[in-house]
Amino acid sequence: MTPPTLDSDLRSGDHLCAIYDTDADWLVTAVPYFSEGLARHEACVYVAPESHAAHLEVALRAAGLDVDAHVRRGALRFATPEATYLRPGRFDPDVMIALWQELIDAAGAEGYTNLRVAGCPTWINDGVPGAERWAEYEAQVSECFRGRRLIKLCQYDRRLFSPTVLLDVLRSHPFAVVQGAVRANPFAGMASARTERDRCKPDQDLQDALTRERAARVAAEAACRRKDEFVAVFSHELRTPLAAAVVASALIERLPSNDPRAVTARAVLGRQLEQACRLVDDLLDIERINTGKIELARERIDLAALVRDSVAAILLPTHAFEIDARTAWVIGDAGRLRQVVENLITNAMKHTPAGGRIVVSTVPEGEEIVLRIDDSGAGMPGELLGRVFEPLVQGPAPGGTAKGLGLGLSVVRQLVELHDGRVEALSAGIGHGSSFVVRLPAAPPGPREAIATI
Amino acid sequence: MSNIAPTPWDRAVETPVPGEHVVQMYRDPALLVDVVARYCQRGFVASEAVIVIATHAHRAAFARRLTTLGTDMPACVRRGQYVDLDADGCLAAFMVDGAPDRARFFAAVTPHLEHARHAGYERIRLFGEMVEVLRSTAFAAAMRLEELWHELLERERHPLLCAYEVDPLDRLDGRVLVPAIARRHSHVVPADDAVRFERAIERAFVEVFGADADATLLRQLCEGYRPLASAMPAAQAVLLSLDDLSPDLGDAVRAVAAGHSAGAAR
Repeated sequence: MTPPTLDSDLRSGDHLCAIYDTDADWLVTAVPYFSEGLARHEACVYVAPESHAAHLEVALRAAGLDVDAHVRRGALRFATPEATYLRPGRFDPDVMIALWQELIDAAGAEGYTNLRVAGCPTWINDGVPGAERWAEYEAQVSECFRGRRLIKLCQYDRRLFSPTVLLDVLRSHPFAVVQGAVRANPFAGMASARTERDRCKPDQDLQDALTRERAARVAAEAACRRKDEFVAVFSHELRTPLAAAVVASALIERLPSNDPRAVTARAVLGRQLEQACRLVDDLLDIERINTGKIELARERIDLAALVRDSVAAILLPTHAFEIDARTAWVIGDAGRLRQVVENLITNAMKHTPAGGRIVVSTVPEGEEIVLRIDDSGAGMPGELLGRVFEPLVQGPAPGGTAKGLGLGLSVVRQLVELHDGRVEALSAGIGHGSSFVVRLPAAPPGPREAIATI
Repeated sequence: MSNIAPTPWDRAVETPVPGEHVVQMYRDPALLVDVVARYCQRGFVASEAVIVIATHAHRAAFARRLTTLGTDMPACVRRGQYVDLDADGCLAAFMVDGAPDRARFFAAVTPHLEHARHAGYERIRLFGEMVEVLRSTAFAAAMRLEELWHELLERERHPLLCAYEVDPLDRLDGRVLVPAIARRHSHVVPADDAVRFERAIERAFVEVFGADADATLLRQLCEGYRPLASAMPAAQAVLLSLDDLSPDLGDAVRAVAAGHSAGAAR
């Protein structure tokens, strides 16, 4: 491989390291490196402590560059390690690689041909949490950005880094810069000098384990964040009816009991406490289902009759209901299936403006019973359809954000699955209404149907 | 230029009825200058005399603002239509052992009213901020002084505008100062910008109590659940009621509203 030269032919994906002995050495490398980048309309970023950046700035000016103009138009940026490598408060290779990708994308969006980066990672000697993963990170950079729009020059002061660290990082850079000249890095071949078995098997196993560990950690962190978010939203949602209940009860206490305002306050108190109970019930249901504590009292049920009863119980003049309920026998827990139906109807009402239409139907289809709730409401964007049964996920509601935790649909899915069924959400998009389709196994024919078929 | 949106509360400040005791609360001193200048100017236009008892700095600012509004201040002073008195000097005339002395108060204020009447002005509007000067160090004395003013207004039937640099959306001001001040005035103007204040409380109410019909019902119940000693915007009445019904929830609404109000101001 012919090494490129610093001031002419570096290419996308090139990852170089420069080990220097004096302060002047790194400027000999950095000045032509950035001059060339700026001349080639690349977005240049120098990541180093401010004192290093100041030295580079002076040297670039001395080389005739209009530093101010480049900085003004965003072509040249100086960043500190704290704002980049250590942004999360510790060093995390995954976060950093994601950040480079973000910057590459941003540079591309601004019309730059490459993102050209250099930096002196002296901070890895400061005992920063995660710094022990630096060599791993350098190797990842070479892997992840090979052929991508990143050119990266890593500068190491020989006086500050141990030989072990230097050797580790050298192995992950195809090219090394020595006194301003780019050379093929002899250490980069060290890994390939091993036997194929040594090179691939253990490294591959290790890599796989690392990948699995990383994926598990990312998943655990995401779950933890979701849980925190859930607790915050749940607390807020529970506090709202409780706050209203507190004020309503204080009003009841202070007003004469036959005062019409006290009567109104009592009604408000009742409704708000019911709402708080519903929230807690939904949460408890999810917990019971997740921990297998729900026992279904299975019996033979006509889902059509159950739908008619449910609609009658919550029918409000605000919406136009249509029911097309044909006899449809299933085996299930009547109370839980009623909960499914009611949650779906309540959901349709919440997302459909007053005057809108809601159609509820039950139809036998082969070996399945199909319960379908169609509404003429706010609809959903395509990307929401797959997530709408997750807790905390809410579709758009008339007039803004829907109230509540978005637990109702999550309970629906879990209850339907407990009945060996499945549920899906359909929508042609925002403003085009939504449909929720539940499919449950049809019950085997009962004695009457069996006789009728003879 | 005034940044106050026109509201029914402007009437209480600009065209007060004789005997009305109006309080303007403010956070921005520039707002105070604007309000007092408008109050004075409307008095001049209505051929009323205006007596201002204020700090030295405010007196100068009022005069400058009135001049920029086109008022010939030297002429107003010459014909006895505008009298501005130093708040500290007046307080020194009637404060005894840290509290206002009733007899000395009447003896200190009444001659100025007489003087205006002799100059041909039967209708006089008053602005006073001695109470605000006292408030920071001797709140009880300030409230006693308000009561003396009240007594004077009942006898003399002139309108009086007071001003306090307090923030109804601040926890301590809102919980302690505002109710005490409100009780001693006939009209309360609680904020620099009445519309922004109302919107901030409305949004905070929704955040704390929800956006459903019950929250609206609750707000209506809070607004009118007990008779108030003074007239005030509905949003301020709601805050006072909440403080009575559940002080913690009053604080919660104030805190959220303060955020919205600051956001809207930016």
